[in-house]
Parts: sequence; C-alpha cells; structure tokens
Amino acid sequence: MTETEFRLNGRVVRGQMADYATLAAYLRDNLGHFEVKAGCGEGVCGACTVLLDGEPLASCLLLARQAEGCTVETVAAAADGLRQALAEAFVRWEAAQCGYCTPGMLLTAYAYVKGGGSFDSPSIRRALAGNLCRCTGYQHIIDAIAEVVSTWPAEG
Amino acid sequence: MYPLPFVYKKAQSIAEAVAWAGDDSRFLAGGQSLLPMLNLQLASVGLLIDVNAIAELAAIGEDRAALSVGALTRHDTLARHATVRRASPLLAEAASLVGNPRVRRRGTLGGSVAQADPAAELVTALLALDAEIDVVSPDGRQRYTVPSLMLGPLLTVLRSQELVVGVRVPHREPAEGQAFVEVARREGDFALVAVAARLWIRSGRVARAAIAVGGAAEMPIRLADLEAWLKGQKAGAPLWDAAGERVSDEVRAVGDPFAGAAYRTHLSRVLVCRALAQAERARGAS
Ligand SMILES: Cc1cc2nc3c(=O)[nH]c(=O)nc-3n(C[C@H](O)[C@H](O)[C@H](O)COP(=O)(O)OP(=O)(O)OC[C@H]3O[C@@H](n4cnc5c(N)ncnc54)[C@H](O)[C@@H]3O)c2cc1C
Ligand code: FES
Ligand code: FES
Repeated sequence: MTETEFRLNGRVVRGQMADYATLAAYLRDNLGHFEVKAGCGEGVCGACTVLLDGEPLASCLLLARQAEGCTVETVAAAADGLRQALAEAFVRWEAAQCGYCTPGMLLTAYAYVKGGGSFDSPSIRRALAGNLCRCTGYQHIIDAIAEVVSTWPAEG
Repeated sequence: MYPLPFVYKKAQSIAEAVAWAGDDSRFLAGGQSLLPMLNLQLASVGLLIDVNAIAELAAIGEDRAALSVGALTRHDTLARHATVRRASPLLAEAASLVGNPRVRRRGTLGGSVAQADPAAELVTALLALDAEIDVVSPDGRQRYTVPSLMLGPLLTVLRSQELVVGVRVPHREPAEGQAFVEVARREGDFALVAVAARLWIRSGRVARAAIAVGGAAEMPIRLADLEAWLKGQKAGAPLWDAAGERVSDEVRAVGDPFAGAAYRTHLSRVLVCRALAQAERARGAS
C-alpha cells in the first residue's frame, strides 16, 4: 500500500493503493466508478478506456500507482459541449444497445474529435479499432461520431 | 481482475533500474504485453520496476551511420516521428500497424523487442534492417542483433537484469526502397503474416535485397536464400512474382487456431511479392 494522488474528473483523489491494483480495479472497487467497465483485462475490448492526461488508454493495463500526478477522466466527467454533443448524437443514432461498450466508445470518440480527427468513415473506424461492441454493430456508432465531427466546433 | 501481489517501484535512471533488478523482478515499460499476462495470472513477479520515468530511454537521434531510437519510444511516436519516417520508413510503417490505437500510444519499442512475439511487427522490421540492440546490465553494455537476441517464441537471451536501452538502425540509402506489409484478421489484431523488405536496384538489376517474414514461423525469419537468388536479376513484376513462388521453400510456417500452416505459407508468398513491388516503387522516395 502506498499513498498516491491523482485528479479524477476534476477532483483530487488521494488514497492508499495496493502496488498491484490496476487503475481499472481501483476506480471500480475502491472508488465505485462503475462507469469504467471491466471487460477482457488484456487490452483488447476497450470497455475500461479512460483518458489519462487526455489520451484514451486501457485502465486495465495501467497500475493505479502509475496515475500518480496525472489527470484521469471517465465518461462521468463533467459534460463540456463536445461530451454533450457526442452523448446526444449516440442517443439520436441509437448507437448503444446494452451500453457496455459505450463509455469506452464515447471517450475514444471524444479524444478523436478533440484531436482534429476527420469525419470520413475509414479514419473513424481506425480510431475505434480497439473498442469492441458486441450488440449495436458499429455503423450507428460511426454515423454518430461522423455527425459530430462534421458539425464540430458548433460555432467559433 | 487482480494480478498476484507484487511490489512496484519507479526507477529514475537506467543505473537505478538495473541495480534494483534481480531474479524475481521485471521491467515495466508500456505494460501492453506484461499486464495482460499478470492480469490473467499467466505470469507473476515479485518486483515490478517501472522504467517510464527514465527520460534518456525515450530519446530519438541520429549520427552519420545510423538512427538511434530509445527503448521507451512509443509505437505511435515511432510511426509519426519525422526523423524516423525519413531515415527508416519501414520501421515507421511497421509501428503504425501494431495493435490498436491505445496499444500504440503506450507500448514501446524496447518492450516489443524483449517480448519477442513471433508476429511482432517491430521485431520483423528490425530483423530486415540489420538493427543493433543495446542492452545495459550490471556487467556493462552489450550489443545484440535480432538473431543473437531471440531464441524462440516469447523467448530471448535477456536475463532479468538486462535492460534494453535502445536500437540502432542504419539510414536508408539513396538506392534503397523499403516496404512493410501485413495481413491481420481485423484492424488492431496481431498480423497473421507480416513482411519487411529492402531492395537496392542499380542499372535495372537487384543489387541487394533484405527480406524478413514475421508471424509465419516460430519467430521472425530472414529469407537468406531468396535474397541471394534475387541478386543480379532484372528488377520488375515478373521477378517479384517468381520470388513469391520460391518463398514456401524457406518459410517453415506453423499453424494456430486462427490460421493453418498452408494459409500462412500462402500469405507469405503473396506478401513477399507485394512487399518487393512496393519497395521497388519506394526507391528514392523520402
Ligand atoms: C490488444 C493488443 C494488441 C496488440 N497487438 C500487437 C500487434 O499487432 N503487434 C505487436 O507486435 N504487438 C502487439 N501488442 C503488444 C504490444 O506491441 C506491446 O506494446 C509490446 O509487445 C510490449 O511493449 P510494452 O512496452 O508494452 O512492454 P511491457 O508490456 O511493459 O513488457 C513486456 C516484456 O518486456 C519486458 N521489457 C519491457 N521493456 C523492457 C526493456 N526496456 N528492457 C528489457 N525488458 C523489457 C518486460 O519485463 C516484459 O517481460 C498488442 C497488445 C495488446 C494489448
Ligand atoms: S477490460 Fe481493459 S481493454 Fe478490455
Ligand atoms: S452496445 Fe452492447 S456492447 Fe456495444
């Protein structure tokens, strides 16, 4: 156990973390952030995606202690305009069924749009290559993201 | 999902990382191969030495002879870095095909070398590039090549105290064209077969060729017989086709549940042909 501190969704988190706890396990089991989904545990599915200093990473392949001094964001971070636009587009396009992949999809899409990603389908598919959806099918997810890219930023 | 307990320590220098290392320790770089194994409890470790804070491990530079790339260079950086793209386009292309975007943001060149996956794009690329791999241990510095380092699937000569610090790759020469191609089941998957090719053409004839195939056999292999056969022959599509036909003699493909040996042999043939054609076109391009 070692005292570790990082920022989570705008708040400072400080706590005793087991050296061997992954960030995914710590966020869920110690902090109750169940919007971070537990999937494969091997980096394949993307359900556990968080933004670490703005970059989408698999929280199952990071140790909680590696987040020391970093900024961690989950899908429950306070909604800015882009988060809101993506969430609304996902609803409009029915881009979620069971919703298990959705937090990872939204965070990956958020970083993609913020990073200036283009709205063509091959680029979006490539960006989403590490996020598996086992029920909606990908087309509506891609359509929702493409719509947001093509209208973002809404104004100046 | 929890790994079996271990102690985690973050090293600030190469000397510190190497000094802490012992029989029951492992280095932690990108964690994109090690953490899956720990999470699934396929591996366990007493001490995990995080090398991510060691800035000198992430440097990219060049001198007259070679490009040098630090072990901590992320796949994504390798794929986009202007110096790498110019000096070694094959290496940059290989890095862009590793895993999914999250893996490329985090995974490292040194980790890929130490992991020694039979289908690893970067190991296949380094083999074709005749790269040198620099390793530091309590006994000092050592230099390896892919063949002297890799013993088999997921197996290298590296002991737990040996830290890969960087890789040296010769600059692409003006007469040299490079290509890296692969076939994977889906974007983000490991390659079923990957081929790295370098081709020197002078006065319309092949002056030299270097071809490595990953994913097909127990470890990435160089097609030395084919390289020798190509030498002196007239460059062009008929030669690349004929080269592809000769591949099966040299690639001892092995099957797994995703693809049988016969299909992997077929892919090797097709991809060698494709890589040579692409390398021919890439000559002189920067
Ligand atoms: C979903 C997924 C898909 C993937 N797809 C591919 C793919 O298509 N192709 C591919 O090649 N790889 C793939 N990978 C693996 C990825 O490339 C890893 O990044 C790489 O194999 C290991 O690099 P790392 O920095 O993550 O190493 P780590 O996971 O940190 O370490 C791996 C091993 O190397 C050792 N090690 C790490 N750094 C050093 C060093 N500097 N010196 C000595 N030993 C060291 C560790 O102790 C450990 O034993 C994939 C991974 C995932 C999760
Ligand atoms: S649970 Fe982390 S990628 Fe699947
Ligand atoms: S909505 Fe069910 S997994 Fe994607």
